Amino acid sequence: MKTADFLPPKLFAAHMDRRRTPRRIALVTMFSLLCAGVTFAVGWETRQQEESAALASRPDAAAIEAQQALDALFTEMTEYALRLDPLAEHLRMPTAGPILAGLADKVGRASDVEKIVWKHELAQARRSSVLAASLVMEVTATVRGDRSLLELPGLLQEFTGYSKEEAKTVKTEVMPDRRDTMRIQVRLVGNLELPSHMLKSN
Amino acid sequence: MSLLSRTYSPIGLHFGSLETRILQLRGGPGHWRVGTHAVCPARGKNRHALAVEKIAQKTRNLRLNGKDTAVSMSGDAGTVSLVPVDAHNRSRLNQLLAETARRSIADDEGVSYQCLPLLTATLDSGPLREEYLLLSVGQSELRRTKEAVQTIGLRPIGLEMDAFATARALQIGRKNKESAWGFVHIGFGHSFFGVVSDGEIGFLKPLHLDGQRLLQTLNRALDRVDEPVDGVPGMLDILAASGDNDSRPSDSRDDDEEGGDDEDGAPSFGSVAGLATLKEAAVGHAVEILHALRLEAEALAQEVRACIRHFANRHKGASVASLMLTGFGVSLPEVEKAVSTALGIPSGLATPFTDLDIKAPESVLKEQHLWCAPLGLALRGYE
Repeated sequence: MKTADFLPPKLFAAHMDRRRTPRRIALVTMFSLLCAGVTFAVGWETRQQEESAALASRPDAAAIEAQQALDALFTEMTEYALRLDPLAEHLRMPTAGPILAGLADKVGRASDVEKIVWKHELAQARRSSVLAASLVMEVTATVRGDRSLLELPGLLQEFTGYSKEEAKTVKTEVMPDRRDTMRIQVRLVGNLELPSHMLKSN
Repeated sequence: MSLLSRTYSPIGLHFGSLETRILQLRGGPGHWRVGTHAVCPARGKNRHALAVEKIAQKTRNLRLNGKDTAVSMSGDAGTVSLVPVDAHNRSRLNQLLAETARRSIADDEGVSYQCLPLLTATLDSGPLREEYLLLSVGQSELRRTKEAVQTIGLRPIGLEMDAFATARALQIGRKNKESAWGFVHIGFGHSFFGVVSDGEIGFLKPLHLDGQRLLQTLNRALDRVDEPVDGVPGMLDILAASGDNDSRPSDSRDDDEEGGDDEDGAPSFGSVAGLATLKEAAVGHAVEILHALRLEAEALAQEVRACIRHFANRHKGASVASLMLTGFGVSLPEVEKAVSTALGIPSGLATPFTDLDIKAPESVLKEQHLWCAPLGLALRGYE
């Protein structure tokens, strides 16, 4: 509402400006509080992160204890391992035991195994290095009938799993006192998969 | 949060004819309540100094917040004139206003005036015609008012005629702000009628009838013949209670002036005890009083109706929907009823505190029509 003021208008304008001041203060205060709140939140989050990082990098007594126990266990195991290594190496070597035990049954009823001779053959480039190793097995058996005679090398090769090309009949001979029986000598060669360190050292 | 948003209104200080009223609201727009209020009886030319002297003694009890003070003066301290300006006089408008103001007030220190353009209308029968509301005040009155306010450490931010403050208080409380409405202020030494249209004062004119004359009529009707004071018989009680320094010796002033807090805890500087006595005396004499007031009320109504016709002519037949009554005169017994009946327009005592839902002490709510000007001052700038 318009009025007729006998005082200069600037006095009332100044009053209106002063009247707004508390609101300004309130707004500035609220903004400051907001900024302070955000600052506090950021500071709090930073402290949390720092504490997490410090906690993560701090030595853990339980972990150290577990590590020491593990080291002790490893030391103890190493002592046994020194004794177990030759055994392990031995166990890793190819064995002919199962072949020798089962060979007589696999040759069939018409064949009788008389002798098995086996040996190692090493291929050496120099005196101290081994290039390859193979197991050579020579089986001597008496065989009745031509069919059995022809099938025996195949049966032996199949049973031993040795190389087909290396299963050869070395010698056959007639037995004077038994008319349908012949003596046969079969040579089987199987490659030995030796550990690499053995190939180098041996 | 409420601490930050707590608001105090400027202090409203109204130097009335009989009393100086001081009011400050607190709380903020929409939830105002009266923070400080006080009434300080003081009359005469030196009423400003007398009032602030009493206020200064009670400043601590008043619990005022801030120094900014909107001040208003009684209508009898200045003059209000409607100045019509024809098109051919437009070029010498300032000269015309200055001459009118100079003629209206006699003051050795000079005259200060303000004018408000009320209307630019084209009369059916003639060329463009403007109307200005000219308000004139003596420089000595302005000086006394400003000095009094500054004496008690307050900072004046505005100095208005009470009509504007009153209209503002009533306008803010209006539910229907569209229609034009009027207000009749019957003060002790002056009266005026105003019309508010579209939220602005569209018409303002002093009236002949005032509270002093009504009081005289009432006393005559009640056959209350006291010692004549200032040539107004029957006013002794009123003037005694108001601490009239000009007309009564200082040692005969009522001791109650220095009294303590009133029932609401606000400092009290005295009360219009004579008015209460008059009301008591009026009980059972309503018919005689109404009969005695009939002529006065009818004269007032004729004057108001003439003003309304003038306003309607200038505003394309706009009508005044209702009237509100304020001031000392309408507090007198049966005056409100007599005036309302004579006016023939829906009218009633102004209740701005109730309309604005302002929490106020009982003493203020009982005299809302007397607190319009201080309330309008306190609410200046919150419209």
